[in-house]
Amino acid sequence: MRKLILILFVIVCFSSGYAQNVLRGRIVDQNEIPIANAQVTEGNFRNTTFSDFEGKFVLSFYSNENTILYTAYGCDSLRMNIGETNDIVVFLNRSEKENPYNLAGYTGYTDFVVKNANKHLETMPYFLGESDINRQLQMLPGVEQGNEGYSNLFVRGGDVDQNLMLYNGTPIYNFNHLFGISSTFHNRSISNTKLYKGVTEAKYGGRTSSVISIESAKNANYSKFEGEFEISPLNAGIYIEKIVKDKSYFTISGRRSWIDLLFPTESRQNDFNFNFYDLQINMGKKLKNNDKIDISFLSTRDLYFFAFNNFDSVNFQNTNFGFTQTWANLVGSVKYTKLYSDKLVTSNSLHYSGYRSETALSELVITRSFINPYSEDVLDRGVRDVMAVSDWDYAYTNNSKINVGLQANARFFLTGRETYTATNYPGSADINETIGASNYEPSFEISLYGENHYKKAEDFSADFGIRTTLYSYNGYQKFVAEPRLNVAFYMGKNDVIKFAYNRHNQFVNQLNLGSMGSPNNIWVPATELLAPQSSNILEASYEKALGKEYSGVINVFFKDMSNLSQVSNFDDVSNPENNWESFVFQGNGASYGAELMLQKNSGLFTGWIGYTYGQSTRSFEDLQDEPYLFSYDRTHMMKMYVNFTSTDEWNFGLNFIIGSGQLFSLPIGKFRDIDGNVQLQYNELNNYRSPAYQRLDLSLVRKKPTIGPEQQWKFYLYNVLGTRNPININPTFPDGGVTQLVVERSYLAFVPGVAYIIKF
Amino acid sequence: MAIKIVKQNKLSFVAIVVSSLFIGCLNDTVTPKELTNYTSRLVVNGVLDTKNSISLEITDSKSSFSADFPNLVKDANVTIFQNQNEIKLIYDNDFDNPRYVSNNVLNPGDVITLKVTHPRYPVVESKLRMPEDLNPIGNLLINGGTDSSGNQTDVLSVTFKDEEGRNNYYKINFKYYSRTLGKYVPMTYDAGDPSLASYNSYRLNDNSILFTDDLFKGKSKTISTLAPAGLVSFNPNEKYLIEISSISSDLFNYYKSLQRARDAGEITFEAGYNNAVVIHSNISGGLGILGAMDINEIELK
Repeated sequence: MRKLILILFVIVCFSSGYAQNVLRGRIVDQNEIPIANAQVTEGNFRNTTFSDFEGKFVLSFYSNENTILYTAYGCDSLRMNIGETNDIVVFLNRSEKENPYNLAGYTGYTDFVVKNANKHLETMPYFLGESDINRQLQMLPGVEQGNEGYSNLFVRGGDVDQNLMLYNGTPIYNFNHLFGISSTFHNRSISNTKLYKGVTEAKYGGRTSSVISIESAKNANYSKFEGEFEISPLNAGIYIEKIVKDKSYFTISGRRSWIDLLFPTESRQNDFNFNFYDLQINMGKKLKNNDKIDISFLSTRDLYFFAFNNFDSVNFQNTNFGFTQTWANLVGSVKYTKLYSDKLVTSNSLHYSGYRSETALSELVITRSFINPYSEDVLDRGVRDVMAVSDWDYAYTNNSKINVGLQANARFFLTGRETYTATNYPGSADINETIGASNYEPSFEISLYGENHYKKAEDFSADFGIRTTLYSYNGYQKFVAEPRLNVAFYMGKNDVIKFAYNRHNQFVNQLNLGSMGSPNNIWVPATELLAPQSSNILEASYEKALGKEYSGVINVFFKDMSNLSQVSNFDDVSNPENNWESFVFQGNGASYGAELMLQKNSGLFTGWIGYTYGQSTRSFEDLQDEPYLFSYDRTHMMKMYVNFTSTDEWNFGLNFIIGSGQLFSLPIGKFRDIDGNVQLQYNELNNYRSPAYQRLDLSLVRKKPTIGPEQQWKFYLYNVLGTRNPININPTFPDGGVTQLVVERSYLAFVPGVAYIIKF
Repeated sequence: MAIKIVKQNKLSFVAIVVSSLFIGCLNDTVTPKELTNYTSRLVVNGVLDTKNSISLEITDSKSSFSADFPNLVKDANVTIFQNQNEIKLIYDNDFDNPRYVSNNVLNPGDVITLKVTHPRYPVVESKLRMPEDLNPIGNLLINGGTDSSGNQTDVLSVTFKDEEGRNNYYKINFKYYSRTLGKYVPMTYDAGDPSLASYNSYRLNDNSILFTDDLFKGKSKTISTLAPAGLVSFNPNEKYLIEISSISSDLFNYYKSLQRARDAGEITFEAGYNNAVVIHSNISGGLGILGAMDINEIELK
């Protein structure tokens, strides 16, 4: 560590002491869309560099007396004298006939600001009228929702816990309200959502499937203060933002469910209650020396409670039984970005993410004697993540930008703590005992990464690097190295072919106890008995800008996964007295596929159509001798989102999905076992694929013209076709015992949603 | 102004919301046609050992969508090949335990092939190798240990040699003699040995433990345990029974999967997972298990 700091210090001194001029800036078109791969050349010299994915560049030049030439495909060239050298914005005029689609970026990467922009996602039909970034991502090829109606994300055959969900760089562990129906992120407070479907930069690590980075730092073309109030079936919320262009921003958003407030207070306290809230506060400021500070805060909580009474007429006492389930997230970060020199930018940040779930059972006996026995059984689980990151970007040469960094994570696990208390029971002493883990147990991860972003010619770029991690938990240590490679060959202005290879490791797992998104799922560390997960991802893609308004991309990928976890017995794992490691199997998985996506990026109609062909399998010898299809495997899936934004008054949105049905395991037979009992025969796991999945959702947004605050009504209809895509398949023997199987299905159809928004 | 607008629209908004909560979540039943086209198969259940004669149960499987229960198959043609020697099994219609039997006793190391034919069912076959004799030695040390409460208690131990060059599987159980019941019954024992630790082994409903030789390959192994104090204090003769068996890998996997199926209990499916358990079978073309065991019962008096 000391050597690293010394090396970096020398680089800084060297770069600042050498008589080298540096020009730093950003290249955009007349609509302020970043221009990637634009060439920046000093006068008649060979000093040249290229803008990156976000249009940013750093050019070391020889003399202030020379001019700088800016050129890019489809744009007018521009030659300028060198004036200001820091953070300049260069506007290149792009021909109206040219397609502004950005061909740069990692293989399998997309976001909703650059790669997949201008789609009016606020008009997308959402389930129950709830704008949800997870639902937006579910409409992309290669990303599946899993079970019908849920907002989970299964990326290219990976599991939910294999996604690194980052909120302003901080991992978040349970980002769901309502047991997975809705995410915890308020759409308006998000400035961009970035999805890496497998191949990532070296600074990302710790999960084997994907990275989803949610960013809320804001900027605007002009200073403003505005907000909106929104109410939908699930919640009511407010959003306020204050932006001072290029200087500072402040946003606050809060949502709370409201249906519970319709019930009397007494009823909510004694009988039944459910509510949730989320609060997001984000602020940033550019300091006098061009340094920047960003602060982010997120708090969420869900609460579900019901109780019932049992009156004993013999003893004349009333017993109240209560059940409460809560879970909460507390996430925060502070990031300080500093421009050490024209070539060196660092950002240092601290992050905290805490997730906790609690299940409580209570019993209160109201007696005539006024001594009321009370007992409570509380099961706690949680995970806390404290992380420090130091990230350094250095423009080593005009052709190479190096990114190096250090991440130190302390992660604390509470895999299960059960506290039982009992007071005032006649004839018994009061009880207060705890079983299971008494405290959070720590694990440590220290990662060192380095990556070179190389681009010497306009037709070739390469990003290559490595991420190394040392992991430690309870005496167990593991060191891993993860190579990262992404190369791109540009064939003219409209085509690019990319190849990539990544390796990932994961030292944290979520044990699924029967439901993705359930707060009862347990986060556990990798241990000596539960080896860390790993994956290798190989990917190739071809992207093309088509005509003026369209773009297309084809991806083919292969991914293998090792040391996946599966629970063998829910009850045993859930019991805090047991060592959870004893009830977890490990196995492997693999997935491969091809994704095709065609986007329309401008005009009255915008949207995309995507098709995925893929297969994902799992191999757990303890579960089945042969490999079997992953539960959320969908061989074929076509998804289309179309938005029609015409007038100031009416907008229209459409989601259409058709593809393979979901997999379930159904017993096909029954037979006697060695003890003479009748057992169910499963020829294999996930042996039944429900009929083809079809769904059409519609949305209509009406902006009500008024003189005062702008009002919007949003109407949604989920599953207009009424197709019976199962949420739940329940095979039962209704007569009791193993007789004749009946398969019950639940599904969602014709689900309306509405949202009302007032903007100010 | 904003509040006034909300109030004006409140009634219509609430009406839409309330109706949306009730519309949309529907139920029906399905009959998966691709699964209802079911072919009944022969189910063979039996454990061969080197001390008793051959005995197999043969039943049939039924579709889960039919109301029928599995039945005994009484007219199958059952043949066992002991190495190359053919043994025909005959059906013994014993009231309590109808089986296909033969008086032959198998030997350690025998290669056994089973073939069952019946005109109404596909042919089933299986193959296994009889485990070698374990020759375990048991030992009882009266009041040789102290339990966690400080009471003196008996120490039971068993020693055996793991066969080299292959993966071996074992089943162990400790029992005590109940004077009340007049027989050996399972007792609670401390599976403190690393080979019997919960992450290395599998506990069955009858309190026996399945374990592998991962931690002692090719070596001599001693497993000992403390008996609960006072269990057999008044037994004049019989005290404890140690059951230690070398079992075939298929039988090991069968017991493991069967236990998981029992633990799964009522079948339900919730949001991505159900309690489906594929019960291991080594019956090609059929279901069930043809297991092999070298049973050893060591009586400690």
